[in-house]
Amino acid sequence: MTDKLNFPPRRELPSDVRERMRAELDRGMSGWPQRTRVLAVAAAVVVFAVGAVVLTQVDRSPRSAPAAHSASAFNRCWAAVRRAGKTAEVPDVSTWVKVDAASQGADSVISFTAAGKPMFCETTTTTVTLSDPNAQPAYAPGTHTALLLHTGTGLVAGVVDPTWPGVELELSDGLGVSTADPIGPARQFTSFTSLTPDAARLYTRRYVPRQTLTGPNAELPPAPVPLLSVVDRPANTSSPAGKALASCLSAVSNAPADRDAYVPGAMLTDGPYQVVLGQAPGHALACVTSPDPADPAKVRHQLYQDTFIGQSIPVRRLSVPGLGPDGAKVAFVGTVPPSSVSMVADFGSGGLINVPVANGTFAVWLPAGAQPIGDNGQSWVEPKDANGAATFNGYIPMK
Amino acid sequence: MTTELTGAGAVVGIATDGDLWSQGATGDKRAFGELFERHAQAVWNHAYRLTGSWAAAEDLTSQTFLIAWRKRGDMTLVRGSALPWLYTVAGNLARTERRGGHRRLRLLNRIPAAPPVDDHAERVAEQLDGEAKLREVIAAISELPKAQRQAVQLCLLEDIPIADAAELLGVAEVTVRSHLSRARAQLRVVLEEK
Repeated sequence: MTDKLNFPPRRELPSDVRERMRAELDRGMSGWPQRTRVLAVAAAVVVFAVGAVVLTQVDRSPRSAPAAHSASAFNRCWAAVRRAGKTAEVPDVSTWVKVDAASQGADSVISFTAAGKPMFCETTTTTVTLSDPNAQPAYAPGTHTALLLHTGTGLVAGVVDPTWPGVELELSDGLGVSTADPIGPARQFTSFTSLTPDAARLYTRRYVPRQTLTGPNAELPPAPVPLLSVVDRPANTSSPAGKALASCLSAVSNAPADRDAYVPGAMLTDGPYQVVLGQAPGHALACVTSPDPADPAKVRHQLYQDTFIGQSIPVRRLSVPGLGPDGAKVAFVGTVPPSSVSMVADFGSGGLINVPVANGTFAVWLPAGAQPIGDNGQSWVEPKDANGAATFNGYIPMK
Repeated sequence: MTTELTGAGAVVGIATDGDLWSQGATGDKRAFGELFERHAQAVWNHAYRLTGSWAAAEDLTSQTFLIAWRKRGDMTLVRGSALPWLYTVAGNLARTERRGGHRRLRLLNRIPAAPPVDDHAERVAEQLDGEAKLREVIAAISELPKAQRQAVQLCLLEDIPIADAAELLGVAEVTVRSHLSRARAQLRVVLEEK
């Protein structure tokens, strides 16, 4: 028994955890005093109504978005309001004051006030969603904590009771989802929960750092309907990858309901075999076309989805079964940070292989003779951005 | 030494751990940061196996690299890799943390029993059950004598070859094997009693 202790499988290091640890190291190397540590994360297991088992983490870390990105997102939000003809339904844009910005992967949210009213605008690669500033907050019973926005990506945003130091979001059974600090005069908060509005009802509780249980929880009424939720940057389906993804997704029976939100990524083709990737905030998929074993004259389409939702992971391998006779044709595919434009990989062949990257995804057929390096059957990869700076440097599973 | 790897028309230089550590020892923060980027994921996963908590693993990993930075002159490379030494630093820190760090697990302790709803709930139960067992194993390992504990942490938690562990710990391979044998016997007794 103890010869095989059955430890849990190793996980890829989420980017926000890596960044926090790196910041701590940088602070320490500079001789700066370390920040006061607050328990940052605790693993919790959530069962989605759709059936995916997901690890989420209670996360109190600030998630900053670059200023330039915030400005760009702000402009997209206002442009969406104008295009929707709803300028009269929001306070004048001159009164919009940014309070906070956060992002997780390609999913970003700006917290702001408009004429003093709390508002939130979420932008993804393809969509803009804006909370309704005129909606009356529906407070959780006995509190002044309310949701003002809850989107299909799992983003939750709202206002925190004025008497609470912080807010904790939970599921009905008390399983913690996240904690957050109120920000700005309207005491706004945001959280990337990965819980879609129809997947779970959320509960809230007063949160005090370093205390365990801080009073009873209360069910949060659903967030109001957003003022608008639009696709402002449709995915390009005219490219070969776009056409392939659309064609493949239309042929599988289990395509995601929001399949139009998936941006086509890298693609592999070899004779009758095709693997095309698609990516949406927090989700990635690979749609595979191959000869039907039952009738080689026909093709079959299969969908493989990344079930790890919620954390932004720098580089993540999507597992696609080997194709062809004996599964010998292996697609080395996955996701990389969105800014990545190229990648090299070491498959143990004595040289580095260039791996094509497109729209935050990578794909290459595993070369003949590929051997894992490092621990546990892994390959080393290094994606880079347009300036040549590495966006990741580490190991991911080879198969 | 810098390893030159060529492939796909590109020539890429990869600094070895020794290169980076040597540069770091002179105060080169960039080089040490690269070492962090290279090994952070492995140390973080090891830290989870030492603590049973991803929260504690994050703290432990940060502290491990800070200790490594401060002790960068004392580091021992094993077959060119800094990882075994980082593992031992993490193991020693975890030992210290255990003496006063129970509060870190407070949120984990709030995870309720898995809802007995459907097949997916069974997977949740397996996960939670696995975490509980992991913490039992961690507790049992922490009670081992130091030499056995170090051997277990290197060779069982991380599959470090016995020869490498022996080199790092400054003992003969046969000694490491002996420690592992005794540790296994002790763990078997402790874990089967539960």
